[in-house]
Amino acid sequence: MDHAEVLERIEAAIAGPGGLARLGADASPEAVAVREHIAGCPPCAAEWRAWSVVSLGLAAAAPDTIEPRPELRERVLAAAAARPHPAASVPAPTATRAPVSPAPDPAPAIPPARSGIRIGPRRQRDVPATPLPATAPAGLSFRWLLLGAAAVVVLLVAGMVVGRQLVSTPEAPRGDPGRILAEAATILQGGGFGLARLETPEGEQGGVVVVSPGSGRLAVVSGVLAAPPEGERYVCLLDRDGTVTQVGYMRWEATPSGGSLAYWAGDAEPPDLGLPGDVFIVQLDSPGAQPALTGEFQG
Amino acid sequence: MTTDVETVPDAELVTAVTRGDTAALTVLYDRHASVVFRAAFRRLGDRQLAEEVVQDVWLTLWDRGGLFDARQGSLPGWLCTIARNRATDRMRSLGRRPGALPLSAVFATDDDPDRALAAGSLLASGGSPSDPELVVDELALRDTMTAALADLSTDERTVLELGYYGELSQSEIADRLGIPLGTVKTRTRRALLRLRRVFAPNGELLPADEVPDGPR
Repeated sequence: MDHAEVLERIEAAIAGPGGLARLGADASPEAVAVREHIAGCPPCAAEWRAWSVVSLGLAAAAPDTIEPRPELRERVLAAAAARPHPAASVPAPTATRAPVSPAPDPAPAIPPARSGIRIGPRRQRDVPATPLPATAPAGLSFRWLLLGAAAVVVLLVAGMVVGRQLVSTPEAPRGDPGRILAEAATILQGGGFGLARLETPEGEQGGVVVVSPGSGRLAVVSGVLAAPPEGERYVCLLDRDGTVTQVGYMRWEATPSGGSLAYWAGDAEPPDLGLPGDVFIVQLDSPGAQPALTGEFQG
Repeated sequence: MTTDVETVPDAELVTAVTRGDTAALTVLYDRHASVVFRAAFRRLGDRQLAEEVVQDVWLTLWDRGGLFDARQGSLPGWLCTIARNRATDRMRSLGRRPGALPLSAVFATDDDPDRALAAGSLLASGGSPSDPELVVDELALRDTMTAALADLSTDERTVLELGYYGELSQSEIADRLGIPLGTVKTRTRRALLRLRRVFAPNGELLPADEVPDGPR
């Protein structure tokens, strides 16, 4: 398969059903041939890359008029009816069933040590449970709101040297600090959020992570992390009952004044991240790395 | 009575679902399946996969609806969160599919795959973002692409919509519109090139004032 053929297939695929994703994963000999060519052809790989973002954009811009096929309704309802319902295996349900909290693991709530943390198998994504105490006193929530807002403000001020980048505008580059901090502000303004203050091993304040149980969004910022070594980056981990799972990677930037700003925002994973006792960890993503920041979510 | 069920608030229907009430599950499907489907589609770009996610979500509601707490947010918000997570899982599983295009094969050595992924490049196995930070960018990407689509001519936009969102082949589009296949291809290519101009070579969105103009 030559360049022209590959490019033709790419362009045909991008505007078709499934976009480039389908061509990228299709097991047909033709699709495999396209991928094999791209794997060894930098110019075509560049074309694939360029068209892939367009494909992603088309998906993201799907109009509100797009609907699932009508037959899906019957398929879904039949699938549900075909499986035993949990209510059938429990004692008679009460009239006012309370929300069910996830059963706690038998392991201690807080792991005894942070050294030698290994990234365990990622927990299956599941339903966002009820991560925060809905019955928490209003004063407590407000206190955490203030603490979180103060932490973000401190980091904003610390990052002011980043200058224009911190001013979030619709045209600002995506993934920039301003956007992440704006996301954090949105979470804080939404109330009912989970918050953990991150501290260095020396006990110094190092950042903050906030998570919204309503939207499932999470934002973490820090102004104290040292530059990661070449080829390494900071990874965010969740330590729940001794099981450590990966949450996401932070982006690190040096500020002109010699400081730093590390940040990340994304979907909380698991979606109920932020339960009291959850420990949020930031450390280099390398073997033997020790936690650079830790913080525990409070009830 | 059915008419009564259809006016019941979501939270009460979820409670009924936790007791095994299929009628309540059906009403909730009719109310919210569309928005959940769109949430999945916007992450996956694939109707079939998005519908699989919808089924997953409703089975989760059926099995574990008791985890929904109306005090923490709306039901569609909760369902969409599940859908987006499941969609991301599917993208990751696609990325691990044998024979799929590896990321390293696409990104040249002078590019940073993670940075490009974070910027919205969808490339792990031909369109499978693997970095959760991608999520942060979805709204900006959606806004920009929606504007770019609106800027296309009606003819160009129509062939794209029928192909990408309508899942029609180019031949089917030609039949539907009553135009030659070559015309469909020409319009499609022209539309795609116009959309591509909103991205920088590294895959990041260009600021609006830096998008090059071009002939319609």
